[in-house]
Amino acid sequence: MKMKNIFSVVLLFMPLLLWAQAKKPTLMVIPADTWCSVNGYMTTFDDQGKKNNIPDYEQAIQTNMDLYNVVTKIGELMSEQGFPLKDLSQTVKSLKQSAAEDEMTTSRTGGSTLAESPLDRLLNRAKADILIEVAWKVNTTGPKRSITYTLRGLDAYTNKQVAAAQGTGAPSFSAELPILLEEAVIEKMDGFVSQLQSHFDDLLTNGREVNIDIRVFDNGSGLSLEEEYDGEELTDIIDNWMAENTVNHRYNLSDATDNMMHFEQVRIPLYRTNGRPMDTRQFVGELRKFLSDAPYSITSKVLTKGLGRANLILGEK
Amino acid sequence: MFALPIMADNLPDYEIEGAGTGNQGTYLVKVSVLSKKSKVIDDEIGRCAIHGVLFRGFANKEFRQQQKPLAGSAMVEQQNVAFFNDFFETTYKNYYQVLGSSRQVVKVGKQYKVSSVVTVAKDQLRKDLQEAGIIKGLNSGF
Repeated sequence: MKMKNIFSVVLLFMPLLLWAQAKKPTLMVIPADTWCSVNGYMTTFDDQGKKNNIPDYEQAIQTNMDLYNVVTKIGELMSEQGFPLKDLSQTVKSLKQSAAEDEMTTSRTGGSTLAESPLDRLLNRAKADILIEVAWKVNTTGPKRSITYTLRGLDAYTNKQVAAAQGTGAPSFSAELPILLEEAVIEKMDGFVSQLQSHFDDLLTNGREVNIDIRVFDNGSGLSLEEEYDGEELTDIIDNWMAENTVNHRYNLSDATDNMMHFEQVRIPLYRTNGRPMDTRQFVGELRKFLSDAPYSITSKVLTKGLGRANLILGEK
Repeated sequence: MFALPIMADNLPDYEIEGAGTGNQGTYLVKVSVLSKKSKVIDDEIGRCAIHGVLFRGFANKEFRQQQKPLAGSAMVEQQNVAFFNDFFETTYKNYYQVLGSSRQVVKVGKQYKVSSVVTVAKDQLRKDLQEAGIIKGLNSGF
């Protein structure tokens, strides 16, 4: 009896023990698209026949000393806060080494392909939770120079801006550009970190925000989201599963038809029941398993796009 | 039961503003104390500087500076009255340095406005308050 009580107490506090071992979000600094464009660090990406201009991070980090210094200084300041950053140059290098193997993802039965943009590939490789975009501009008025500096923290899962610091420093006659840049980074960092703190507090309380789409393969099987199981439509069954498995039942079913459901602002737990980190693919994988069991016995396939969006396609693998 | 008086009640009237970008890990602030006497000791100015950085924040249009209170808000002082009363007895002295050559005294009506530029070791101050559990760090919860 005594043993049973001890076991119950351990079980009761298990989530707290797991919580205490929570994994830190990872952060990575990248130059903003605008900065890359203004400074000529863009490259062309062939997106299924359509030409897209995208930032060339590799070229930028390898050739621009000011960018290298700014990224290093931000990294130093974040390390002092106990948050070492993912290194952009190392991530770019490792991405290059394995670019060929990730070129294409193919559906096993349908043969459909999934093209990934270089940015998606970078995000998937770095698995950074927060991207810190940095940009600056040198302003010149006569002999005086000043720096307009912008720092934006973007949640890689939702692309939402979660922290920002922006401003123009005091003009100077004599200070060199690296000094002005260093001052700008130091001056703006505290405000930025304080906003980041609010975002982390929200993550810990309400879970991570992602988007999930449910689709039906048009393979002639006749499966539809209006199909009934024990008098309940599949749409409602999925909706109920979402309510039971999201943090504080927080999600928004923004659109639903007989062959698609679009969930926004889905708050998924940071951790699985075994204490390991949860991501969008694993969360949707849980739904896939639920639907594969009786009485539904629905075969489905999980496709992810970036870190914060996943599609569950019902009907076949 | 009685409520402990908060530190702000024992401080002179003071103003705080930015004085440029300090070295890494520090804030450079200008503190002006309003006093009936023209002599105000450095310690009084230093205490006001630490109090201002923690609970008021500071700005300066000329230097285009704006910093929020390091402790988050003045509420933190009220929530930890005992800690901060103790802190402002002696501990605060570890975190500031008054730049002697920056002293200015201006008579304003029947009072004197005594100003000095102070360097505040904000990174160390933040770290120590985080370790004491008074303010949260970016690491808290992870």
